[in-house]
Parts: sequence; C-alpha cells; structure tokens
Amino acid sequence: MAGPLEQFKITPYAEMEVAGVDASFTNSSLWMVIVVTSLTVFLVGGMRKSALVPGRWQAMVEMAYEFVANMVKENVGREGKQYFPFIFTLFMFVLGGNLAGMLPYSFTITSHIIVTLALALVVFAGVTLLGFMKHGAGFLKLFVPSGVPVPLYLLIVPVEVLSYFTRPISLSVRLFANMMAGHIMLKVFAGFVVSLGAAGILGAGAAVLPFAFNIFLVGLELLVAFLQAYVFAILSCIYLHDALHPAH
Amino acid sequence: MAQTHTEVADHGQGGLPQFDATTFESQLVWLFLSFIVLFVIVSRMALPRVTKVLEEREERIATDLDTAERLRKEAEDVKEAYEASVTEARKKAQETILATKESIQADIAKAQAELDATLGAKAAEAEARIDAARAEALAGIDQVAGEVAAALVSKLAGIEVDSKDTTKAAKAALSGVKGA
Repeated sequence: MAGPLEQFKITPYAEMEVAGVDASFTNSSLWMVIVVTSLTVFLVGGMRKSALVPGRWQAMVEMAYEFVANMVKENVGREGKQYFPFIFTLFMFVLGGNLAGMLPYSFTITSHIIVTLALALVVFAGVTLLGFMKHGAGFLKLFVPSGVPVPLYLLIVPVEVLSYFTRPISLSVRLFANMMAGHIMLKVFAGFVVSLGAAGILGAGAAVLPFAFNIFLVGLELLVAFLQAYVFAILSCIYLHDALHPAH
Repeated sequence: MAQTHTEVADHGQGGLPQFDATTFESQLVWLFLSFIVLFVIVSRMALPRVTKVLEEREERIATDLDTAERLRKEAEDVKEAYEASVTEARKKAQETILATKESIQADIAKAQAELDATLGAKAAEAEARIDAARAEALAGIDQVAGEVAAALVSKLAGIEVDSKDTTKAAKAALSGVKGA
C-alpha cells in the first residue's frame, strides 16, 4: 500500500524540454489543465444564456463574481476594480486546485510549495512594483507608520520591513501546509481502514471508526479548500490595498 | 528559477516530494502557462459577460421601478379626478333636488292660493244669493200675512175685511221683527 506521501509524487507522463527548460507533462500539469478547463466550462458555460433571470448555473457564476467583487471592493477600495480580474483568477485557480484535490485518485496542485510560492511571489512582486509605480519613494512610508514616538522607529521600521518580506512565505506556506496536512490525514485514516479491515472480523468492526472520521475529514477538507482560497485572495487584496494606500 | 538541484536522484522514497527540486521547473512552466490561459479566459470572456448581465439587470430593475412609480402616480391622478367628479355630481344632485323642491312648493302655494280665491268667490256669491232670497222672502211676507189674516177673520168672525188693511197691520207688526 502506498504511503501517505505517495499522493504528492510528481509523475512525468511525457518528457519535454523547451529552450533548455524542463517542461515535462506530469500529473501536476494534467491537473492544472483539468482545473483550468473545468473553470472555463463553469464560467463560460454558466453565462452561455446570459439570462436576465439567472438559472442555477448562472446564479453560481454570478455568486462567485459578486463574492470576489465584494472582497476587492471592501479590502482594496474603488480603485481596486482594475485588479479584480487578477484576484478573481487567483481565487478561482486556488479554489479549483483545492477542490480538484478532493476527488479520489486526483492530484492536489496546491499541495506543492513551489506552486503556492510562485503564486505568492507573483502577488508580492506585483504589489511591490505597483506601490513604487504609484507612489515612488512615498511607498516606503508603508514601513514608517505615523503617530509613533521617534525613538520607537528604530524598533518599528525593521519589524515592518521584516514582516513585509515574510509575506510571500507566510502566504505560500499557509496554503501549501494546509493542503498537505489535510491530505496526509485523509490518507492516514484511509490507511487505518484498510489495514484494520484486513485484520479479521474484529478489525473490520473497528475500522468503522477511522472510516467515520474520514467522512468528517472530507467535510472539513472541503471547508479548508474554500477557506484557504478565500484567505489567499483576501490577503492579496490587503497587500494590494497597502500598495495603493501606503500611509496607514 | 532555472536552478536545477539534483540532490535526490530517486525521488519519492525519503523526504517530501514537495522538496524534490527536479520537479520545480516543469511545475512552474505549467503553472504559468495554465494560470495565464485562465487569466485571459477570465478577463476576456467570463467576467465581461457577467458584468454585462449584472449591469443590464440593474438597469432593467431601475427602469421597472421608474415605470411602477409613474403608473402609481397616474393611478393616483385618476383616483383624484374620479373623486372630484363624484363630489361634483353629488353637489349637482343636491342642487337639483333643492331646486325641484322649491319649484314644487311654489306650485303648491300657487294652486292653494287659486283654490282659496275660487272658493272665496263662490262663497261670496252664495251668500249674496241667500241674502237676495231672504230679502225677497221678507218682502213678500207682509202681503201673505195680510191675506192670511183677512181669510182667518172672515172664516172665524164672518166679517169681510179688506185685505189691504190687514196687510198694513201686518207690515206694522213685522217691522219690529225685521228690525231685530
């Protein structure tokens, strides 16, 4: 039986190399393509009628739209509107990756640190560039909060700088660790069910317990899948807000 | 990004597969590829459609509300006009009733007056006729009394009396009665 970490293994299906860069099509690539395709079908298919009175599918698409639109409006403000497509894509991609990982035999793309770190670094780099583009050196005011006694700046400025640079790490590790831990738990308890079931009548009776717990875990993991996508998106919004309004 | 770390040759066994750096490149390539494709689809196709539908719905609701408000106002105007016309009609009816009543009362009074006048005239005429008859009767009574007296005397006493004398005597006697 496969160990609990087996599910995170990258298996190449086709070795590829483009301009000296390894672009092998792997199980991870496959699930990224599946996520993007499903999201496209969901978003475009739901709006195929563009009805004035939405059906269930269209209502779901509109709900997703309004959920992210409100998130951007409340956390970034009115000028955040032009970044809405990016935040929406980010939220839907992470949510899609998390939820696709809940399918049996699937692969969870967001359980890999390199994926979450890349997304977090894109947000971090984008937000930092935007801050300097909009405010120039004034963006550095972000590290110098107003209304603080002058000697305290010696302490506060390094802390602010440090917290700013740990943002991509906390953002990516939070998502990666949550997804990985949840899937390891699911696998471990599923493993208990199998090994207890193999241990005779008594074991089969006892196997009900980890099985029931796994059902509970699936519910919990669905919640975590949604929650972590939400956290990822809302933190990106907050960072974006800092870039647009550095003086806080 | 292109750092290829190959410290774990046989990935899978030992250590997290997540820290196997040999898989990073392909993951990053496919991540960026799929994310950019999704971003283009979302920003070019999906979101504009939703935005359009939501705007259209908002517009439609606003115009519907406007129409409803306009219709409500119209209905209110109609109701007001109706009420005004009802009040007017009621007032007119009242006036008509009053005028009719007055004219009827005037007719009644006129008829009454005419009747009174006719009856008065008839009564006066009758009275005059009675008076004339009485006067005539009274005028004839002297002669009758004289003749009756003469006849009585001749019958009872056998004396022929000239009726002219008896009439004179009766006249004298009756003049006292007449005066009363």
